[in-house]
Amino acid sequence: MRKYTIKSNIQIGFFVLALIFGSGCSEDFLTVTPNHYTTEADFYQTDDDFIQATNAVYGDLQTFTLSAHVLQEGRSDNTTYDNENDQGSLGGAAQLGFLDQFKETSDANSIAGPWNSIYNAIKDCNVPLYHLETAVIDPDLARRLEGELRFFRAYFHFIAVQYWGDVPLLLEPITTAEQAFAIKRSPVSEVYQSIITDVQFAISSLDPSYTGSNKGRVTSFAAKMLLAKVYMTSTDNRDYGLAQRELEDIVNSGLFEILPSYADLFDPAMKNSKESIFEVQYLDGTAGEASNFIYQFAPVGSGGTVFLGPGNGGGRNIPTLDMVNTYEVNDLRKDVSIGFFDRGPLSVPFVKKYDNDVDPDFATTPDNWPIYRYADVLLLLAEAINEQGYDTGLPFTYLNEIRSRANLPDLTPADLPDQDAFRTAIAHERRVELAFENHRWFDLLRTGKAIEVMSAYGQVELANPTTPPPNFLPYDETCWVMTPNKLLYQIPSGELNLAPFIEQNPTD
Amino acid sequence: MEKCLQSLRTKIGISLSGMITLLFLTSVGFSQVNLASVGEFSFPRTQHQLDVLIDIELVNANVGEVLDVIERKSGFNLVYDKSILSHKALFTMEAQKISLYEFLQKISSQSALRFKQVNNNLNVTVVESDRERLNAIEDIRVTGSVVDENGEPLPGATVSVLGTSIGTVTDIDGQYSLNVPEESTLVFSYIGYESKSIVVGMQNTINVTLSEDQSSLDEVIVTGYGTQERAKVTSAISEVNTSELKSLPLSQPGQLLQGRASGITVRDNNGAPGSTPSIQVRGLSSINAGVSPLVVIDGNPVGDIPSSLSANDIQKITVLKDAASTSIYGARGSNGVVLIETVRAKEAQGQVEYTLSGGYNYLPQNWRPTFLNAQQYAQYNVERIQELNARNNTSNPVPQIYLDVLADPNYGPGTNWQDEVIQEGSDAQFQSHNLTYRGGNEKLRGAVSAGYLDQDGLLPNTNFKRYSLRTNVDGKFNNWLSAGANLSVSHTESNETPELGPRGISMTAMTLSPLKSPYDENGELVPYIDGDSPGYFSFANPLFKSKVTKDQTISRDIYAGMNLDIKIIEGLHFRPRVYSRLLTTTNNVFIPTTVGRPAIGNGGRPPLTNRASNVNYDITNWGIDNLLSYEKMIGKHSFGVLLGYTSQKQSGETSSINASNFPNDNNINFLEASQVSAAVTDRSNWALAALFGRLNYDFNGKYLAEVNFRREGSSRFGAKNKYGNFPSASVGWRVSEESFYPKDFFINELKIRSSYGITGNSAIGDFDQYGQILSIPNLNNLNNNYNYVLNNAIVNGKSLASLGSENLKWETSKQFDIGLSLGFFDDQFGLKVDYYEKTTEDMLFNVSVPQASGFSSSRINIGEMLNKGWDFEAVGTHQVNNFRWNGNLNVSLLRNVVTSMPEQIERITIGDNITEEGLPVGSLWGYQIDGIFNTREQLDNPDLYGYPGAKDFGGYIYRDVNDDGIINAQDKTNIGNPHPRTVLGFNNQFNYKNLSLSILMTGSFGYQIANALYEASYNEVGRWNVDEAFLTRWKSPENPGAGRIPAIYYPGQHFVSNVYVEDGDHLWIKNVTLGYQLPASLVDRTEFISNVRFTLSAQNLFKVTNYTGYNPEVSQNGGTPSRIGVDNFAYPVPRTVTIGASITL
Repeated sequence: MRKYTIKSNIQIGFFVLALIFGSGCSEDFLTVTPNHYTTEADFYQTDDDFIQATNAVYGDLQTFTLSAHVLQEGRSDNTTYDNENDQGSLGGAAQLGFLDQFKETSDANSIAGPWNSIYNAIKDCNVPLYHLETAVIDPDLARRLEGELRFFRAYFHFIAVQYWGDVPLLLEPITTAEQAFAIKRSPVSEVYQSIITDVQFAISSLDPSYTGSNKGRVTSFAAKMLLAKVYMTSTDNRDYGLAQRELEDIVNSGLFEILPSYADLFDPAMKNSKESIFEVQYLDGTAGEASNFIYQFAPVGSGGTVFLGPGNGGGRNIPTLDMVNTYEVNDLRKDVSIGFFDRGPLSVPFVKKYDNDVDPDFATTPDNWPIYRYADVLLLLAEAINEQGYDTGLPFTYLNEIRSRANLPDLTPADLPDQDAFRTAIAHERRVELAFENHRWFDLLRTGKAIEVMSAYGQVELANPTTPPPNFLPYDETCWVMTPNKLLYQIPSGELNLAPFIEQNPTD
Repeated sequence: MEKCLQSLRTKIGISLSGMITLLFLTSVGFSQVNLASVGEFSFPRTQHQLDVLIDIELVNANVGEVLDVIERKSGFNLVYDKSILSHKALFTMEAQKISLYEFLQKISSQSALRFKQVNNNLNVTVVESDRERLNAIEDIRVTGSVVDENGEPLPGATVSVLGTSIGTVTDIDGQYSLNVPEESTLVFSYIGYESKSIVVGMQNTINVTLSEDQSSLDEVIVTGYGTQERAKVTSAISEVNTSELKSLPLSQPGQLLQGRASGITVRDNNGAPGSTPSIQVRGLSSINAGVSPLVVIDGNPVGDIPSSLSANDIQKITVLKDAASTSIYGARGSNGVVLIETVRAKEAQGQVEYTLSGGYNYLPQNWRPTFLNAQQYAQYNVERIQELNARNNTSNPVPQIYLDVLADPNYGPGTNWQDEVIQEGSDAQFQSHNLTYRGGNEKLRGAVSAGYLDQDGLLPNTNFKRYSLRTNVDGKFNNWLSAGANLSVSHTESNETPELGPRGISMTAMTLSPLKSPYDENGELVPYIDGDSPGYFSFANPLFKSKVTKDQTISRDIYAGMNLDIKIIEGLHFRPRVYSRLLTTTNNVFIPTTVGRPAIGNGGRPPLTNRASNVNYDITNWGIDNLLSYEKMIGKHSFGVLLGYTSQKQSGETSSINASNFPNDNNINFLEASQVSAAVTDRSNWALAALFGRLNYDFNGKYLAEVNFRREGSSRFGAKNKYGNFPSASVGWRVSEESFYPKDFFINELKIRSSYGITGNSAIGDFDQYGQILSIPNLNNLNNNYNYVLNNAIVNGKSLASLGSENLKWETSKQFDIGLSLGFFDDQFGLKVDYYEKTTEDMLFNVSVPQASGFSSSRINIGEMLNKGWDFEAVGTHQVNNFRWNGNLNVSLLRNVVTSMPEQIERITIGDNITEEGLPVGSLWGYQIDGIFNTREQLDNPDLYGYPGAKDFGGYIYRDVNDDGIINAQDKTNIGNPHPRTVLGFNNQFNYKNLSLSILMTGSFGYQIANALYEASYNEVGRWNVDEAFLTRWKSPENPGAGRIPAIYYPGQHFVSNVYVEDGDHLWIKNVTLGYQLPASLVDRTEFISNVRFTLSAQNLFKVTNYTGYNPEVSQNGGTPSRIGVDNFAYPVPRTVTIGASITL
């Protein structure tokens, strides 16, 4: 029975005002963007953006290289694992012991890790490459960056194709989950075709060398080295003549030379030397840019003896007795490359090349990792020429240039009377010269020697293990059973579970 | 208060002036009341009201208009029968200033109207005869007081004369006085109390005690943004009244819901002190977006139940289950809504209550897994090495330590590490204190509650403390404005175990060698327990590790809210509300150099590098609701309309510092650490805004209908899909209200109801729509960053580190519900039955994508899932003399199945769980073991598979699920359903005189647990102690054992398989509480105490289960649907026994 009052009207007005204020500008209100990172839509605009996006691929290379030894060196006759390691790494999730003995399963996370980091790097190439197409930036810079990105896209696809054979060939960024699930493997030949196209572009767009703040970037000669390796590796594209041409370009450039001292190659003070064509850069310290190879490579229990910093020794990449014994007498490279840790009755060999830790507090080292160096060029060139026909000239010159630095006598056509003898000598020389630099397994694959060499090595190791096998992972006749299927790694089971169109490699 | 009954006996004969009538003939119907001055609207409400002078002028005013003037000018409430208005008197009075008394006299003299003042009411009657005219005020004056059962005065209680509008209310002291006609009946009433009628007779003093009315408390049910009459509810809502749940040994408010309502699954999946239970309403309706119900505390939507909330502060919990009740919460309604009301005061209450309880925690021996004692362990190790030697043709020697034990008949059982590590009894205490004050009057009511909780954990040096303070105030300022405010401040401190899970404290406590002791010969803790012999695992001593390691989380949580209720016109209310929350959390971890890590041999031996981290989270959340509600009854049609607008915003930040290598373990100064990394990142930043509305209608309380709608926008979705619409509708029919329904039928209430609606889920990452450009994705692994080194200097690298999902849209659930509400025997028993089907579509899932894409995961909308089930809720109460029983049985039947998955993503596997079409979400996933190879025929059978390298006597027979001839991860399959198909709660309370006993049973049935602790406890290759199941392992074809444990180590023996899977079916006697209330006669002797109650309570008293782990409610990874049902050394749940007391002043 009360009537409206003036107060009531005020109340209604208040409500209406509240509604207006409360509901106003809701589009802005409902746009909340992250504060602590840039979003994709706001990046890929400026020169700096693209330089940083390209740097990221180098960062990926650092990460990948830190564990590349498992599939490229540990798999070969060069190195094995310290059997003092525990089940978790030898037979458990990492399956290092199984990988060594060619008994791994697709569950091995030592296979999944590289798969992931390789394709992460390829993504980091494809995303900026895609945005470069429409970017308005300095055209010279754009061309260089495109060259760098395409070099790495080729480099990582090349690694992948050697690990797994047919692999996904990704030349465009994935932008939706649907596209990710649609990924399938491409034939090896297609992958190589794309690699060659990318590398040729890189050769044409990169400078022969970079200085100043760009020192350490990939160059046109690094790209030529990659191309030569592709020509000598891909069965479909194998062309020793083309390889020879690329390698000779490097030699004839006059930019590179063999350092007088082998040891200097692994001295952090001599980074990016005249012998270096491309190496992965690391910087000591705690900013995440350091390497830690010696911490991985030191025998179990060698903490404080082999290296300074914390930890116990990773026992990875332990030189095999076969490797230790393969050096010729007086080969200066042996002591530079291999050290021994005295563990009770056992003297455990370890890779000494990267033993340059200086900080006792941290598991970090300043060591760079060589990807391509001039000695590799010369040996590859010698091999390329020899593969086209036995030649007593330049191939011997190149081979002996390497040997003489190692304090070894020259080899003459009398020592190596035919193409096959030279081939064997080159293989040996590459094994010791480039020991523990992640070339051996690829060399064995490339030259078709993997089954033969690894079967023989297996017998040696079974008879005389580098370190005694643990009782949970005894050596037996199932180890080092070499078949053609063992030349490719399994696709990681996690990936197979996810990707409907990716098939597994055949197994025995 | 006096005398006010002024009879206005002036009776001047009235002759209506025909002349005046003629004079104003032209303005019939437009007669005016001229108010002299707006400023004199209200009078002070005193006995002098009648003496106040008012300006008055009447021109041909009719009765209604005169009464209107009186009411406005006097401030009195007029009470009269509407028939008065039909009196045809017209009044004219020239402008004058007279007292109200005089004015009323004049009116009275001109007409048959009579006025009686009753407090602030003015009763208007018409004199029907001369006799009555002469005796119009022959009334009796009655005075007295109204009190409650405790003798507390009830201010504001209504005292009225039956059949009239005469009445008054009691004052602050519960006193009243009233003049009433002879032979009247007085009715005393007060909200929440049973009304009482008393015949006045010749009494002048009537004192009344009102008793609380249990049923009337329940007349109203809380709903989203409002309340509703219980009888008219058409949706599925459950309530838990927590008033009788005081002094239970519960640290977390969520535990109050356990076993007390249907359709709600509350699991104590982790027994760590301070850990919150997982709560699900009607199953899991998403894969890995949020699955917890939206919790709204006193109108503030806060998300999950915060552990800062004290269970003692909760007055009532209401759970909205179906879409009709939750769609008004739109995008957060999919998982149900839990409405929590905290302590409030009633009018006229003045009460101080102190509740305390204290007690001990236990982990009964038969709840623990059994590991080998010293003799068994030594014997097992000897056999282990012999068996391996025999199989591998090796000759590894048996370590002497085992032979020594076997040679010593007096060696004894050795160390039982579980007994050493688990803290019980006085080492693991529980105490809780709560002080609540409630007070108020008609104008202002307030409740203040202060609480303290201190709970020790079963594992050493784990503890949870909570200090809480809460104030709720409600005020009614006048008849159009009321307001409320609440403020809660709490501080929690949680000391956590440094490590749980597969290599944590519990695991170490089980697997450490019984030949080793935690103490050295001086009784000091040994930091590191070396393996028995070379090749054996060494561990940090769990007691030492717990003692020296710090993992402390401190939270400060502040909530504040304020709301107004403005009555615009009768039935139309504007209710604005603002609320805010500030939460800051600091986590400090320090691991000193003296803590070793698990390793074979010496590899983990301390000293190691010490490290520390300091992580700070803060969240600021605020919101505004504007509600406009209108209720109207037209004849038998009643309508209710609600319109609302809400917006809420949260911003937060995480700053973290990780550091290692401090100069010593005593002084953690981050500036002194050798390596420090720090970052500031977003914590939680989102905004939502929504418009919503509700319309209810019922006809005669018989046919009921309701429609809800909400349109909501969220910052979490991209421009294309920012807004979602969430409608729902429900109908009900109260059959028992029909005229044909038999009046005295034993089913006194019968209601059929049904609802359908759409709700949403937006519980995803705040920025999933954006691709992230990052340099350093992970502070804990700096090596994996995108920076690089050029020319010996670090250069910045930036990568697109995640796949943006700008096309994401809401996950929607469509839910159908049909239900029956029944009351039996005059509501002595009640039954509610609901059947529902909830289909979730476009589930928001952070799906792992093939890594060849360069990304590991992407948030997408996929698939469809169905939850269907039945909720039964039966309540009953029965009283025989002094014995009273209350019972509540609730049963929930639930089935979950994923009904559709996209083609490319047929299955989602995470850890030990799989989600695929046709299976319940997050089904257990592992290998299928079909036995142990025991015969040559089995070994020769090419269709039987072993793990590669393990097809041999004593090895597991694996099933080659995908038929590819090899056993690998592709052969993992569905091995169990982690969702209970039946959840049961049965609560009984018995009262006999001053004694009370309540027993709560809870149970879950029809589900499995992957007991992943077998990974460690069945692991002889681990070279640590093993489960006693190893005594019956496979030894030889002649001695094949129990069939569970295969021969000593083969490869592939330690993957989660059906061997690990156990039924989780269980029945808990979850709580038993015995209470004793001191007799009133005793309490009354003290002047100041009104009530004292003692309780003896046991939580988790007894369990019936075949599950061998600590806790059948376990879920290692919490309620995350894609990772449920796994027990991998989760924190055990304690039995807690407490005594308590509650004292009311």
